[in-house]
Amino acid sequence: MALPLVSKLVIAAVVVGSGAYLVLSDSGEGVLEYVYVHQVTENPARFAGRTFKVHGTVVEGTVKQKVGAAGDYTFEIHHEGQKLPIHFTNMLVDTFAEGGEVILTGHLREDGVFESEEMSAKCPSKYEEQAEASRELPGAGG
Amino acid sequence: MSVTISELGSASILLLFILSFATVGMSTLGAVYRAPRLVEAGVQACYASFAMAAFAASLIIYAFLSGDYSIQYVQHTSDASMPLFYKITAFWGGLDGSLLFWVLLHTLFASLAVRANRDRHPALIPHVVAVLGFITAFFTGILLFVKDPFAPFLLDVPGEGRGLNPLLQNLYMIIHPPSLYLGYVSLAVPYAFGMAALISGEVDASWQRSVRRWVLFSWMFLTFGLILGGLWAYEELGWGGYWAWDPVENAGLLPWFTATAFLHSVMIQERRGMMKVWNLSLIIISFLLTIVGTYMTRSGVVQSVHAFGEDPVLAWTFGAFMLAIVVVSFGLLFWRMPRLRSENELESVLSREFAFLVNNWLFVVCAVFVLGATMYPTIWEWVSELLRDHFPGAYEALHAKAIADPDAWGWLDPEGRRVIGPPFFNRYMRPIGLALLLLTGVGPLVAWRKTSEKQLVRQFAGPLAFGAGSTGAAALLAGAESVWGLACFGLCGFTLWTIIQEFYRGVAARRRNRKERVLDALIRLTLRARRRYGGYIVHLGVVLMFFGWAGNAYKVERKVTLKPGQETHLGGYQIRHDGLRATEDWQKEMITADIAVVRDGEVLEVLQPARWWYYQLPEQPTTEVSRYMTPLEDVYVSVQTVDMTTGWTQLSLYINPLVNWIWVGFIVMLMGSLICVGTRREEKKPR
Repeated sequence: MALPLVSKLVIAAVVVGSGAYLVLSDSGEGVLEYVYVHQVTENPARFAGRTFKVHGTVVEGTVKQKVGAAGDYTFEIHHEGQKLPIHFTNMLVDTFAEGGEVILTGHLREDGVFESEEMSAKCPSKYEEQAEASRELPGAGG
Repeated sequence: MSVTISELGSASILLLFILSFATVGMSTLGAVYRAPRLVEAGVQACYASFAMAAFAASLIIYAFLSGDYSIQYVQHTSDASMPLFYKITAFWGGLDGSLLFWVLLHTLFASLAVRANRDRHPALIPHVVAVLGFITAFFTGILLFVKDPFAPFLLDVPGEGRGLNPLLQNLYMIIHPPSLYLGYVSLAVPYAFGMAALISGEVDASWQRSVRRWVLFSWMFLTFGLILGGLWAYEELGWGGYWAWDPVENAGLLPWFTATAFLHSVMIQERRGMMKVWNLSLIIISFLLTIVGTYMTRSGVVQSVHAFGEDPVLAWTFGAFMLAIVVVSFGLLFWRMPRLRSENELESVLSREFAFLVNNWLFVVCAVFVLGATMYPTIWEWVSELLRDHFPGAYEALHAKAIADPDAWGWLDPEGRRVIGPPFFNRYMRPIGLALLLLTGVGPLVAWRKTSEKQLVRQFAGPLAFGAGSTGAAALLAGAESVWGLACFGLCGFTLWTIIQEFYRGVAARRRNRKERVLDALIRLTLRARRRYGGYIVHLGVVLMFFGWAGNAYKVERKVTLKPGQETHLGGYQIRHDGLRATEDWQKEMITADIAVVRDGEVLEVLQPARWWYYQLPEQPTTEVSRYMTPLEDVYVSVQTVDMTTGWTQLSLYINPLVNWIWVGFIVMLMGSLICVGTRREEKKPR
């Protein structure tokens, strides 16, 4: 004797229903867009109100620390001739360096400053393979 | 004329390559022409492959020990200052060596499996040897043509080695990769048996009995490797967690999902003669996923913290190999479909078959989901590259739409690259995990074929009551803010009671009949039906692990910046910065913070989290975590950055409730699986 039709329908409904519920109620949390500086400066409106990751190179001579505060920095990052001002409110990671590459997570303020407290920094000399890989990404070449 | 290690090594790999083809050729011809001597020659060539791989492996280890920096791989992954132990384990510390290690293990398992089964399944053996030989040929080919671990420096031989990444110089990193490898590589054996059954047409269940223990063995090592990886991340990386859905971690998890599914569904086939095609598919997919995992981590196709970097030749080679496996394996399966008809049909939703079936669906969904989400950024890059190069109109149109209306179309922007983080994985995997935990409890409660109403009440009343009680207790003790946490505690209680109930009833029955003492009855019961009660012990480990995960819902996390003398609060504790110390040894400079964990004015422990700068890799300091451990929670402290001139120290502080139960659960799981693996052959066959 095989499973009755009613049981099969109920099983199908439960499977489809719970799957659909999970997918439809997904707010996109955990999926972050990853872009380069020029993509932000060319279309700032597109990024209004969302959290994303931005990748660029720290402009030499722009890193300033707010006096008396631990972990409050301003600097600029650049890519493809475009610059983006950053306000970073956390301690810098050890691999952070002027002229080095950083990936910052945060949001774009209305005045065009990128507000972030999460950073990962690449050290080009020791990550040759990874640095090459990221250069080949679509969008990186313009 | 003297021969260098490099030349000898390259020659041995070439010989191994030739040997593996000879293995395939002789076994295949032996099977086709029914020539026992050719079959025997194939078997001997299979053993010889292992001997040759072992010779190559001992050469590379010798090169490491003698500091032969004329070999590129040795120069890249070791230096003279490294302790002996790490010099040996540097063998599998990098890409080329880890592939040689793969081949070594693979040929070892091939020889063991052939030796153990040649008398039991003589008709299958030539096919098994051929399939395993083909896999050896593929990996040896990669060593020979793409990644030669014996490749020498042609000019400018350096006198010094570069050294192994300090992050990898610890005990977990020595055991974790080989353990995952053992699991990965040994899954080729069940695959070879499955293929042999399909090729020879001997698709009855006898081969599966031999294979089941292999799968259990692989499963055990995969589990061990995954947990050790988690423990390493927890103790070494300093971000307070143990699992971040990193592509390399996911790669290890994929075959684990399908192997777990197989271990359950194979029982339905044994009992009821159902799901034959499904079981073969699971074996094929598990093997395929080990190759996918190796591909993902070794070819750099997915960017990850610990993938080995990008290599297009390797990516294409693996791609072609995987395609060949899919086409040939499923082609064979399709061809043999008429012989694989199910002997029975599913009769009721309230049956163990159905519980196992749902368990299988969920595990496969897990594998598909994790694979999809891990590969999504890579796949999306391929798609957008394809659009840009071949359909520029569509590419521009999609990009324009995404800019005009980012909320509706932003996710389809071909210029947007996405990073998928842990919250996305957790969102989907959490409900699936809880459903699996529920099934862990339900499975043993329902009968084969169907369960009567009377049985239902007798079986479910206790577990349901205990589950509800656990939820209530958790809500009172830990607070009711996390629905997930409460659901998890409730299901842990439910499942725990089902296991206790099974053992209790078994022991009670023995005592009624034989007048044994409780402990004797318990041990004899377990040893008489090792698979069943060993399985329950594995489930007990699963429950403990979920109990530990549930604690995650109550995690406390703070990032603070303190100067010596300052203090802050963390949950019910005070955390006080007692000062910084700078020290050094022959390998590294260290800055250690003294962090007092205080409760009600009493210093419980002075933790000593640190940052270490290895002389050999000063750009990459390591984080040394320090923990105050209790059975209920860990106070976990790591130093993020230190400013020695001002004394400012940035600390990551965490309270991780119940986290240590995960490791306890794992040990219980391991014991349970050892009991299962030890199944005696004379154990009664299921009716």
